[in-house]
This record gives sequence, C-alpha cells and structure tokens, in this order.
Amino acid sequence: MSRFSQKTGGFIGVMDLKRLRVRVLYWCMFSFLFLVSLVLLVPPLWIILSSLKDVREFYATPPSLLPKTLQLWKVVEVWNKLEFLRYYGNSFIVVAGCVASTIIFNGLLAYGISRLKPRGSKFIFGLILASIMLPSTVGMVPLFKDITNLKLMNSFVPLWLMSGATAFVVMVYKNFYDNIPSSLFDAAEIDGCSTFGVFWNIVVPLSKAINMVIIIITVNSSWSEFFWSFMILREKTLQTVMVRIYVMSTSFSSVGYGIDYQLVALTFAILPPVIMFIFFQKYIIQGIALTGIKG
Amino acid sequence: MDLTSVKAMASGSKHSYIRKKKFNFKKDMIGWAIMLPGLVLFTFFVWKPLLSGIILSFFETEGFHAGKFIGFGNYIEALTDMNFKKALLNCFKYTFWTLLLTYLLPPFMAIIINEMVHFRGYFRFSIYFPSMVPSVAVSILWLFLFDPGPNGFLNILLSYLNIEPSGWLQNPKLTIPLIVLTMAWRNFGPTSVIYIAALQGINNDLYGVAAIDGAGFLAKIRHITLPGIYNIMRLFLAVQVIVVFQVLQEPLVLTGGGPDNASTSLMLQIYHFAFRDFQAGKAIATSVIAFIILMSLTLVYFKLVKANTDME
Repeated sequence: MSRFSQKTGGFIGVMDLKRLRVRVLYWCMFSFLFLVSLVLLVPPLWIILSSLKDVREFYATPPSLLPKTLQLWKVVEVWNKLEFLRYYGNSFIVVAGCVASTIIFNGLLAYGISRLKPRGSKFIFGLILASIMLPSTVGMVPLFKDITNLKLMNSFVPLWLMSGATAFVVMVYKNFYDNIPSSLFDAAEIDGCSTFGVFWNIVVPLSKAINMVIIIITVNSSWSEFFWSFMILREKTLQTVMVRIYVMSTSFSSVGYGIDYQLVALTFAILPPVIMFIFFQKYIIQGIALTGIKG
Repeated sequence: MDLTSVKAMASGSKHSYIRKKKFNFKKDMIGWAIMLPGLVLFTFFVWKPLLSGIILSFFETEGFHAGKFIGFGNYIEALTDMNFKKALLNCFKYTFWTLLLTYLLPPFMAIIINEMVHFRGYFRFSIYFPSMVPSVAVSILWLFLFDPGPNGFLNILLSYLNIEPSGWLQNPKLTIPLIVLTMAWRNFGPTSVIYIAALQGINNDLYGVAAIDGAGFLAKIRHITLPGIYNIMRLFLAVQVIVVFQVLQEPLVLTGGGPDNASTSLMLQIYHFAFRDFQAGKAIATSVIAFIILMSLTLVYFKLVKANTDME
C-alpha cells in the first residue's frame, strides 16, 4: 500500500489513511467508482460483442448475455452489403470540410474581433454571444427554406459552411488571441510587419495547440452531427454514417435487415471517434479543461 | 462651466475623434476584410434565419411561405394547443431529472475521483469515454438496451434477478427519466473533467491546515472542496437548464415523442409543427415563446445569484 503515501490533496490526508476506518471508506469509494465505470464502459462493449453473435441467438430462450457464437465474417459482410465504404466516404468528406471551414472562418473572425478591433466589432461580438441564447429552432424553418431556394439540398456545401459560423469556436479563439502578449505584436509592427505578416508569422505558429484542440472537437462534433445532415442529405447515396444508422433503426423491419446487421452498423458509427479518443486522449481531456466546454 | 468652455471641449473632442478616425481608417478596412467571410456565414446561417423567423411568426404560413399578416395569431394558436401545454410540462420534467442526474452527479464523482490514488487514469478514461460516442449512436445504443422484449440487455439482467421484464421507454412514467439518463450517461464525462481540473486547483495546504485544526472530512468538504467548485456549479446550473430545455435529438431518436406524447420536448414539438404538420408560423411562434421562457428563467436565476452573493 505504498501508493497511499504518494497521495497529495483531497479531503483525505496521508495521515488519515493510516486509520482502518478511513481505509474502508476509501475502498468503498473505489468500488463505487469501479461500478460506475462499468456502467459507462459495458454498454458499448456489449453492443460491439453482440453484433457478432449468430442472429438466431438474439431470439433464443433463455437469452444469452454474452455471445456464445462469434461470427467475425459478419463485419465484412455488413460492410459490403450495406455499402458502408460509401457512407464512411461521405462522413469523411463532411468532416474534412467542416474542420477547414471551422478553423479558417471562425479563427479569422475571432482574430478581427480580438486584435484588429475595427470600429463596430464589439457590437458584432455581442451579436455572436446573443445568438447562443436564442434556440436554433427559431431560425430552423427560414434556414431550411433558404437552403432549398439556393438549390443546396443534397449537397455537402451548407454543412461545411454552417460550421464556419460556430459561436462557441469564435469565443474560444477570441479568448486565446486576447491572451497573446501584445508586446509580440508591437515588436513585429516596429519591425515593419504588415497585418497579414503579423498574422502569418506570429499568430499562426502560436495557434498550433489551440488549433489541435479545435480540430479534435470539430472532428468529433461533425462526425456526430445529425440534424442538418438528416434534413439536407435526402439522397441515400449522399448520407453520412449518422443519418444511415438512424434511417436503418427506423425502418429495419420493413427493409429486412436483421438486428445483428444494425448492431454491426452501429459499431461502425462508434469506432472512429473511439479510436481517435484512444490516440488523442491527453489532448482531448486537456482541451476540455482548457476551453471549459462539452464535446 | 460656461458655454464657451463646453463648446471648446466639444470641438476638441470632435477634432481628436476625426484624427483618430483618419488614422484608423485603413486598419479598420483590413479588420473588416479579414472578418468578412465569417460575417457572411454568420449572417446566412444564424442571424438572417433568426430575424426572418421572428418576422414569419407574425404571418399566416402556407407550407414555408408567408401569407397575410395576422399579428399574434400564431402565438395564440400555439399557446392554446394541447400539445404545446404537454410539451412545456414535459420540459419542466426534463429539467427536474437533469438537475437530479446530470447536474449533481459530476461534482460528486469528481470529488471521489480526486481522492483516488489507484486507477486514476482508468477512471478518467471510463468517465470520459461515453462522450466520444456520437449522440445519435448513443440513443440507438440505448434503444437496444431498453428493448422491451425479454431479450433486451436490461431485461436479461432483470431476469437474473427474477424481476419481470420492464417496458422501459414504453412506460410513460419512466420515459423522461430514462431519456435524461442516456443524456447524463453521455454528458457527464466532460463536466466531471472540468470539476476535476477545478479541484486540482485548490491549494493543498488548506487541507493540511484544516486537519491540524481538527476538521473532519465533512467539514473539509464543506469549507474547502465545495467553495473551490462553487463558481463552476453556479454556471453549470444555468448552462444545463438551457441545454436540456432545447433537447430535440434524443427524444426524436429514442421515442419519437411517445408513448402518447409523454416524452415530447418543446423543441421536438416545434420540429413536429414545422416538418410534420407544415405549420411553420406556429412552429416559430412556439420557438419564440420557448426563448422568452428560457430567457426569463436565466435572468431571474442570475438576479437571485447576484442578490445572494451581495448579501455575503
């Protein structure tokens, strides 16, 4: 139990932990946390495991909690039969466009508000803040009408450009630019750097970490984006993975996909962000603590 | 102060104002040029739709097109609609369960995780993991777990405990708490991480000093831990009520608002008005009403909080 001696902080001190009663309390809390962690981890794992069991097993009596049969070939079969390559492709196109648009448009807008401060920009920032409070459903119908009128239905363009107007990202960037020491800018200006030169030579290199955080958040949110993809991408060949699994879940009995097919498809939807999380865990958790938001 | 000096001051300030303007004109133009693409997008996707939405709500609508001006007609129609009343009531139910599940759990979990010396990384991983699962996938995933048949995951678990299978989401009494539970399951990771970060910012010496003074665990939590996260808790209370009041996707995917409208949220009702019944005016009027309710709740809340801190 040498680990206890390394404890710093928290309401249980190192000295307290020498008492038996406190140790019991500690392990009770530990078990509670462990139980909670199971509740958090098991459901997706169960879905992934169950998707591989024989379809007859789903309706067997008595029902089986853990699969007795594992049919790995089903992954390949579902991938090919449901043409998931296409939906993955569509989702990747959406994600790539959204990332580029989020960083460029929101970043530049925030830079203008934070650093260049042309007259009237305070008012613009007020408008951006205010639009967070208004429920998006007020504008839902007119925006849908505009998109239809501009013949942008069944196109990725509105989805890309929409993420170029994300109030929250503007706020994060503005906050970041606000905290860059102005001496850096003054020095560059004295050296005769133009506005664009300052942006390119000072701001862009400094923004690497914040860009990384925003990229990860945007990849996750645009991979998960459902509502507008569902409204705009009506053509089956253009649908993203999220739209596909929703359509499948509402219509599977009529189309004739088995429950196992649906679970495999669900696994396909879950895996990319989960893999990303495993690789970038540190960045993601830091980013959340930094920006103080939910993903 | 006589008139001339006032005049002099006025002209002086005017003069410097013009000079400043001249000096900044080029810089202003560059600033606006850089901001322009973003502004165009905000105008098209956010501001114009909001504005024309508010205007449209005063007109009779056919499909999505404006007909003749009817003043508050849409608002009256929305307010007297039975479905609206039901949805509004449901929203308060959603809020209640959110406060219970989504709001109070994360600080509690964060305080416990902060005490752990074993498996810290694992706990942080597991608590954050669900939020990486896309929210539509979360809803569909829970749809399978809540399968009311005897072969649904949770009903299998119940059968081990010799309990009759439950209808889960089909049960009108359970449907809202269960939907909120799936949201809590997905959302409490990031919130907990923020609380953990705040807890780690607390000066550790405080605990040592308190211990010397003979403070017990509860006293330490009350006087050191909780004040350390009080500000975040205050902010999240408002944020989470605003978020849950606008819940749309979860009931849409999990229940479609059923059974018998028991889980229809305001936003889902608006979606139904707009894209199922094609009554755009009524839909937008309802959104504006929702906004006014939300805005007044938030204002009252911040007033109360302010009065409270002033008293201390």
